Amino acid sequence: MIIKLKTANDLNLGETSIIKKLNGPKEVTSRLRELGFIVGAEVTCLQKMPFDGPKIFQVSSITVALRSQESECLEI
Amino acid sequence: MLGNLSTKDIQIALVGAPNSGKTTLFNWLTNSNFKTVNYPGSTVDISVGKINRRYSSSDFLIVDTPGVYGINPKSSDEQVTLDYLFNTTPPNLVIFVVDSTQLGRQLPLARQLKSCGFEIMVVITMLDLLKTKFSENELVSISNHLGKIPCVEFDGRLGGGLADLVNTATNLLVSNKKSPQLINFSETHLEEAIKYSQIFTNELFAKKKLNLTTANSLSTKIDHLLLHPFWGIISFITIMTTLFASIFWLAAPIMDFIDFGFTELSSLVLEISPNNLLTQFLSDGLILSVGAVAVFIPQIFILFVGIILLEDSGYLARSAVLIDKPFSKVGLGGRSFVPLLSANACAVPAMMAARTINSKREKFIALFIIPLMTCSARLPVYALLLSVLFLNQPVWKPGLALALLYLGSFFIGALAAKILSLILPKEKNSFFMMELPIYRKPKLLHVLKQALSRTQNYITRAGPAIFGFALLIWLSTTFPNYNLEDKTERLTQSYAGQVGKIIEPVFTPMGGDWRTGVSLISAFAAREVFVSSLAVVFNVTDDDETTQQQKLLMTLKDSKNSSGDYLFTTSSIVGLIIFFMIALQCLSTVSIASKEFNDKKIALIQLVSFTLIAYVAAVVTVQGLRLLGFS
Repeated sequence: MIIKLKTANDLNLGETSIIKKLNGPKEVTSRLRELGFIVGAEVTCLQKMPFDGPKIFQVSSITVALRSQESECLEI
Repeated sequence: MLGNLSTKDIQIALVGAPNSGKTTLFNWLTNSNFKTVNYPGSTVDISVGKINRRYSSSDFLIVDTPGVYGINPKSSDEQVTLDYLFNTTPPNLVIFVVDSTQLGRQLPLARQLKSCGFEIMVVITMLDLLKTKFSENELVSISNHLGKIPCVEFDGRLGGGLADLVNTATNLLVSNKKSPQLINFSETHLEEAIKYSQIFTNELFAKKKLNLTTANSLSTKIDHLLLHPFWGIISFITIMTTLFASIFWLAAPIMDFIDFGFTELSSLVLEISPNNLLTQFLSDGLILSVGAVAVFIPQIFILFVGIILLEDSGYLARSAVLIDKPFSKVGLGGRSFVPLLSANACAVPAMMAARTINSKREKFIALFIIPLMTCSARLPVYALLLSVLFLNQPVWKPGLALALLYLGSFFIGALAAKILSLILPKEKNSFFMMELPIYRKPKLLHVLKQALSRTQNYITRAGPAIFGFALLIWLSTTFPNYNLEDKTERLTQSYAGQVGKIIEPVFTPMGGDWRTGVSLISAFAAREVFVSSLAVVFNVTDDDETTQQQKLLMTLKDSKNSSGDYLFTTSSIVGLIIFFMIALQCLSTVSIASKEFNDKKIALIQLVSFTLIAYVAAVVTVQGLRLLGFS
């Protein structure tokens, strides 16, 4: 059985969690790190666009919009 | 130190994350007026300028670069910076520009660049967002944290700190440039470096009792509305509709005023000596054609003001987020929104803006459909044709029709994008990841100055073509039999008339005659030349009371082809509009396309296919409308 890991994409509106690990293609995780999504950082979900559009996250002091497949790289 | 090196060869590069304030600093240092906007990725190319004599007695060159997040490039605008830093003659000094609210995340790159071998200093900007300054001691501690990289502050709004900055830079310049080596830092290294800097910044800010989230909180509140799943979309539609509607409603009174001015000027010049060829050229050739286009400048100016307001406020990044999902249905994404929006002003800067799209596939599709957007050069053409179509009818009709044309071009663009997305192979590992800058209140003076300078650019680009073709068309429609009394006879026997007769069969199926044909061909120099060419070719100078614009409209409405049928009928006007919507009549676009596609062949395919499809679509429309009983 495959256990689905909980990721930032599963965060509810307003919910905050700590990033445990970054999974995914190197191009994506490397840019995520450059933006400040590093292990141990707090990530908050601020807003969700309808129809599975991008979600808005806050990490340290910046606000970033991520698509689902991008926020799924952030294991929480 | 500098030694014997000529100061003219000294290059100082401004490097830093997107939207950290490099272009603002560049404008201060070089006293230039490059556009700075509140959108990550607004600089997509290297700009070079000489340092202003006020700040330094030597001729250093200042180089502005597109923003980079790291030294492993992920999009072509980042590639531009990295190519400059590592492949050509490296800069003598890197000024690393960092946003004070983003120290933890941005400082590691400064340390990485130093490790690669660059001489480097750090400039901290955007202190107004923190509502504080750093003390001498705090700057020293930041510098120590970075391994002794000198650190200064700079106030981009008022220019405070420039003297100190230039002083520090001059002291750091070295003459014997070592070639820097690109180091491939591992992911763990990057992660550790950010963590290290973040812990340092947190301690620094805690000591200053600064809370970073307060700088953000207003933006977060605004985003609650503007990025709301429902109200966000409503506000987006409202903002965009207001932008495009204001182009027509606000401009109308100014346009009447300009029209009146050119009409008076034209008759004044002709009165000086009515039978002189020179005054005839000035009046019927030059003033007429320049006036025909100048009438539309207010609309173009208002469009620029609107776009700049959106850029400066920080809303553009939000619109990109809102549009990402719908755009992804046709193979595009949120990052294509800004290039496509600015394509409504001009395709040339729009194609360059597409460099911020990191996905190659998305970028290709965006570049391909950019020329289909309603650029400002099409505006005079549409406005004229719609005014003829709705002559003496209420103004809301052409206004509404124009709005529909904008929508129509979005639809054609979406259709073309969808077709391409079905043909092009799928792509892996592309990403969106849009950083949302803090909202800022646009400064009116800055907005007007920028809009003015972009309008000036527009005029200087279109001006020579309009002037050149005014002369060419006037000459070829006046000679050889310039002394014939009957103007219609003179035109038919003119050089343009003779050539026109040969090409006429091509334009008959779209409802035109040789005169429309000559104007259409001249429009390949620039679309708005179509309007000035029509004005000259169809010019019949009867001295009556109406203004130039009115007279041109009536003349067009009344003109007939050689078999006595009206030329500008519903079907032929709609056909012409369809042609202009699709055809790629712009040589500057073709040349920038071949550069951005990095392939001349694709630019040529674009030119030929768009123009052929436009012709076929126009013919089908005209013949179809005629079958349906339209005149």
